[in-house]
Amino acid sequence: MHENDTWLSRRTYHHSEFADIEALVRRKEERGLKVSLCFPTLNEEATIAKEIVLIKGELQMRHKLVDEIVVIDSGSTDRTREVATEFGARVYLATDILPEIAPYRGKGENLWKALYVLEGDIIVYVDADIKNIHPRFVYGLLGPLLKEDGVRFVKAFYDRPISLDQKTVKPSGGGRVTELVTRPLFSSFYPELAQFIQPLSGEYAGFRECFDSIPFPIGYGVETSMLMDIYERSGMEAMAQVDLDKRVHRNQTTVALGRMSFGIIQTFIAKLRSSGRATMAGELHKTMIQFELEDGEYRPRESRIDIVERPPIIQIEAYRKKFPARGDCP
Amino acid sequence: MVQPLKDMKELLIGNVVLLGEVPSYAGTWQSDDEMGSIDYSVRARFFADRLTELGVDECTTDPIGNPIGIIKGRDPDKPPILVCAELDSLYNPAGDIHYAVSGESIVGPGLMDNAIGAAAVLSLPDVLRRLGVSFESTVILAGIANTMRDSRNLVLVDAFVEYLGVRPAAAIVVKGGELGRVNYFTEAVIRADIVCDRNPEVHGIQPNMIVVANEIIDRLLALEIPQKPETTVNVGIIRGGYKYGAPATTARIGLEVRSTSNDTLAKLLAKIREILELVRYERRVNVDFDITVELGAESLGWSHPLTQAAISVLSALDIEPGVYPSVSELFYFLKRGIPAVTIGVANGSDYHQDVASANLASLYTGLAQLVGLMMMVDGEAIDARE
Repeated sequence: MHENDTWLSRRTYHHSEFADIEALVRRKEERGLKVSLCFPTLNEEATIAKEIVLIKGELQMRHKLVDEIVVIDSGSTDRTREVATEFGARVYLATDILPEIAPYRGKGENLWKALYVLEGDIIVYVDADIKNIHPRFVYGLLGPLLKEDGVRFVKAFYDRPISLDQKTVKPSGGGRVTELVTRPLFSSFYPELAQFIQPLSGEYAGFRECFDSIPFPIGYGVETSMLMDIYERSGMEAMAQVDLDKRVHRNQTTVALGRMSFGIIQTFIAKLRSSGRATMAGELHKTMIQFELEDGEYRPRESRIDIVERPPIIQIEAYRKKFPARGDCP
Repeated sequence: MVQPLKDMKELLIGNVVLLGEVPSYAGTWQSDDEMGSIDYSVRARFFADRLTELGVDECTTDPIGNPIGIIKGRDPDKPPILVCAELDSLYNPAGDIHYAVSGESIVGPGLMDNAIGAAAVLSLPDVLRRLGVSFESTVILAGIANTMRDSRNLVLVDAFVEYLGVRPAAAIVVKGGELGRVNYFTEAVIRADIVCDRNPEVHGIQPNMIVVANEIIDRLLALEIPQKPETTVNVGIIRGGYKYGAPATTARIGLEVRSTSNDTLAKLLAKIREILELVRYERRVNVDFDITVELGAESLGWSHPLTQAAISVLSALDIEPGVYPSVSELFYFLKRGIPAVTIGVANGSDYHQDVASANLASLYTGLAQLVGLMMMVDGEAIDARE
C-alpha cells in the first residue's frame, strides 16, 4: 500500500514516540510557544471532569506542557460547566464569546469561537466524550508539531489500524461514516486526503494560523471541511497524523450517523463548488429524509440541516485587535 | 494538611484513575534481562514505572515481581518504614475498565478494593515532595500483586514479607476503605473450598452433588459455635451443576471460619474435617477440602505506640476510629513481630460492583492521615513490641 517515502510513512506517528514529555516541554520553551487546550462541550458532565483532571495533573502540574485548559460549552443543561470550573478549567458559554455576532449552536461554532478566547500559539482540540482519556491524547498530538518543523496540523487516529513497518495491512479503522462517506468522497476528489486514517476524529492540533485563516462550518462537516481547507492552503507536508491507540466513546445510532453523513456530504459539495473542482446545475436540497416504522407503517422523518459556515476568524475585527500579530495576515 | 492535599487533587485523582484502569489480573511480561517471560501483574508493572516517574530514589521488584520504591531517609541507620497496599482488585469486570470522575466522587470497578489504596501509596513520593515532608527513616513503598490469584489470596503476601530482606520499624498497610479503620489485631481465619464430585471408583448411579453439598452445609450449620471466644462460620460461595434437567456432577462450597482464638479455630477445623469424612464415606463421593487462606490470631496491642499513633492521627482529623480485627495481610507482619496496622484512605460504597465509588473529600483526609502517621512513626520509637 505504501513505500518508504510516502506521506503516510513520513507523517504518520505513534504517541509513544513522544512519551518523553519533558523533552516536549523543553522544545516548546526553546521555540517560545504557548499551548492551549480546548474542550468543546454539550452535556458532557459524565466525562469532562476526568478529562480535565488527568490533563491538568499530568500536563500542567507535573509537566508544564499545556498553558491553558479551556472549555467552550454550547449551553449544557447538566452540570458540565460547573464541574469543569470546579476542576480548574476556564469555562465559557459559547454565546458569551463575541456577543455582538449572532450566535449559532454547534461544535464548529465552539471551535471557531475558541480561537478568540484561547491565548496559545498551538491549539489542541479534544472532544469531551472520551471515556479512556489519557495524557497521550494531548502530548501525542503535540509531539509532531513541536518536534517536526514543517508540521503545522496533526490529526488523531486510533486502534492501530495499519502496520507501517510490515507488509501486512490490517483493515483501516475508520468509523462507519468515514468508510462509507468521507473516504469515498476524498478518494474521488482529494485522493491525498484519503490517507488520513480517521479524517473525522475529533482530536486535532495545529498552529493558530492553520485555524484562524479557514472557515468553520458550525455543525457537521467541520472536520471534513478543515482538512480540505488546510490541505488547499498548506499542502500535505504541513499535515500529519498520530496513532493514539484506543479511544472509547459513546456509540451513535445509524440514524444519527445518517444525519451526520448528510451534513458532511452537503459541506463537501459546497466546498467542491467554491474551490471550482465541481459545478452543479442547481442547489442541493437541505432536508434529510429518514423513515420510522410506527404501528406497521413507515413514516418519513425530515431533518433540515442547513450548512452555515463561519468565515475565517481573522476576518473578524475584534479578533485582529486581540491578536495584532495575526492581524496583517491575509 | 488536608487543604494542601486538596490542592493536589488533580495529581491524586490522576493516579487513582491511571492505576485503576490498568487491569489487575496477571499478564505476561518479558523481563528486561531477557531471561524469559514471567507471569506478571500488569498493574504491578504500571506501579513500578509510575513510582520511578514520580521520583523515588530507587525502584525495584522483589523476586516475585512486587514493585518496591525507596525514598531514602536522612539517617541510614534507622530501620525503614514500610507503606504497602495490595495492587489487585477483587472485582474484575469483563472488558475494559473506565473510571468516571464527578464533582464529588470517583466511580469505577475495583476502585475501593484496592485501586484507591494502592494509588494513595503510589502518590506518596510526589505528595511528600510537594508538602515538603522528609523523614529520618527510609521509606519503603510497595505494591503487593497477584494476591487474588487462583484464590490463593494471601500466600503471596506472606512471600512478600518473607522476601523483604529488612525488618521495618513499622508497616502501614493501606486499604481503600473505610477511612477511620485501625486494625491492629487479627482474627484466626480459615478460608477453604469444599469440592464434591463423583468418585470414579464407584459404579452405578451417583448422587446429585448439590444434594451432597446441601448435606454438608446442614451439618456445618449444626456445629456448636461458641460465643466466646467469638467465632463464626460463614458459607459464602456455592457453585454447582450445569443443566436444569441433570443431576449436578460437581458442587463447590466456599467456607470461611473465623475466631479470636487460634485454639478454638483448630478444634472447629477438626470437626469440619470429620463431617467431610463422614459424608465422603456415607455418600461414596469425593469430597476435597482445599484451604486457600490460613491466618492466625495476633495482636499488636492497644497500647502499642503504633496503635496509639494511628488513633491519635485520626482524632486530630476529627475522625472516630473504627477498631476491629483484620482478616487480611496484617497477620503476616504481626506473626513476624513487625509492628503493623491497617488503615483506610477513603469513604466509599459498592466496593465490589461496577459502580464502586469513593468520596473525593475523604481521600484528601485519608492521605493526610497516612502522611501524619508516617511522620509520627518517624519521630517515635515505634519498634518496641509489647
